[in-house]
Amino acid sequence: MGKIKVKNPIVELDGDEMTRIIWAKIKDTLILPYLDVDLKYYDLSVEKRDETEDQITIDAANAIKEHRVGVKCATITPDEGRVEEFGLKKMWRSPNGTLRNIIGGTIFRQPIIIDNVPRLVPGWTQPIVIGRHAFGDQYRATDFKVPGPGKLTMTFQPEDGGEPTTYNIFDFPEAGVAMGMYNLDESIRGFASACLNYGLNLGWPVYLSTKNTILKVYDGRFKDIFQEVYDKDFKKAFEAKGIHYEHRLIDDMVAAAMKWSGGYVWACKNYDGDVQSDTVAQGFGSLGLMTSVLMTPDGQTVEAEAAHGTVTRHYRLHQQGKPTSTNPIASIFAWTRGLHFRGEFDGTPEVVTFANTLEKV
Amino acid sequence: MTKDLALLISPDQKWLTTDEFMDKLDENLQKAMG
Repeated sequence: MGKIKVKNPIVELDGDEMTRIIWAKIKDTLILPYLDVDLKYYDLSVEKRDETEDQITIDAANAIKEHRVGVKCATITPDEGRVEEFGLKKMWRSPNGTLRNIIGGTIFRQPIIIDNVPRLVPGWTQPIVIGRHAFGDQYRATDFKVPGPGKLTMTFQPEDGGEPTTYNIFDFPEAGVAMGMYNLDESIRGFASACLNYGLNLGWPVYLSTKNTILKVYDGRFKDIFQEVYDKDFKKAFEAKGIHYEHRLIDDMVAAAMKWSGGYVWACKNYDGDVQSDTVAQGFGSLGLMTSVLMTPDGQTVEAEAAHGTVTRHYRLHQQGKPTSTNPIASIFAWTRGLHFRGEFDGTPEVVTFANTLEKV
Repeated sequence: MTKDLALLISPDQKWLTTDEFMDKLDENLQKAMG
């Protein structure tokens, strides 16, 4: 049988330690014997990042922007210990952070379900995909201690010299704490598009959770923008696929999530996404079965990787020549998710079918 | 399957090393594609 031709290139980002070893093995035994594919290779190993002053990460991100599909091996994000271990010039930023800053978009975490592996939540028979809005709110907030009694106000000063608006926040009777936080319409809009595109691609419904009963204006803005984007750009396509979009209160949504079997995309605000993605990961049993896909708002560029780290402990054993039992499944799914999107973008169903076959094996 | 997943099933569940598991996947994929 001849190899399946992949029409356009895939950007391959290599990584570190045990996952790097497994990555090469996957490529050589499960991918290249079956596919005729032009891989644009970037070595994001920590040594190479150090040698190129992290330029390699920037080049890789630009390559993904150009070719629209990237698959990534897990990488080391250096801390003090790693700087010393590898003699690094500096504590380079997380490659995933750099990639996301350049490519933009939303990260979706999707668990892999294996029938005979029990889950902490047995009712979760299908994946729950979490899209986290990784901008603003608490993560960009200014928080501070209030030293004693006094009045707290918040003022918006328009750039065009218009009248400032001042809000009375609280009359402090004694010491306490306070916080000011924000978000941007454009960022919420991009998040909405990415989530709705992701749901459409999977053929699954999309739910946005907020606390708009309390934060009527702030969370209300999230709800309104999602609805606006849905009505304008997605409603028809969703109805054609028999799926829907719905806003839910966060408390209803967490209760529903426990009860439902899965098979939907959950659009989470920044803090909720932080919390819920770990709840969901644990509920499905293992980080070794979690993939992470970055998708741009227009749904036209994706980067897929395993959500776990480089499995350092196993790498040490491997270095000593001892056999390990390292789970390669999430790394394999990084490849197959990438191939799935490549096939969809190129209109080459045979590539999508191969990705599905490999996932089943 | 690998050890991390086997332990989720039961302490007695058999598991494979990295190489054995990759060989098994290779074999299964060859069958599926054949």
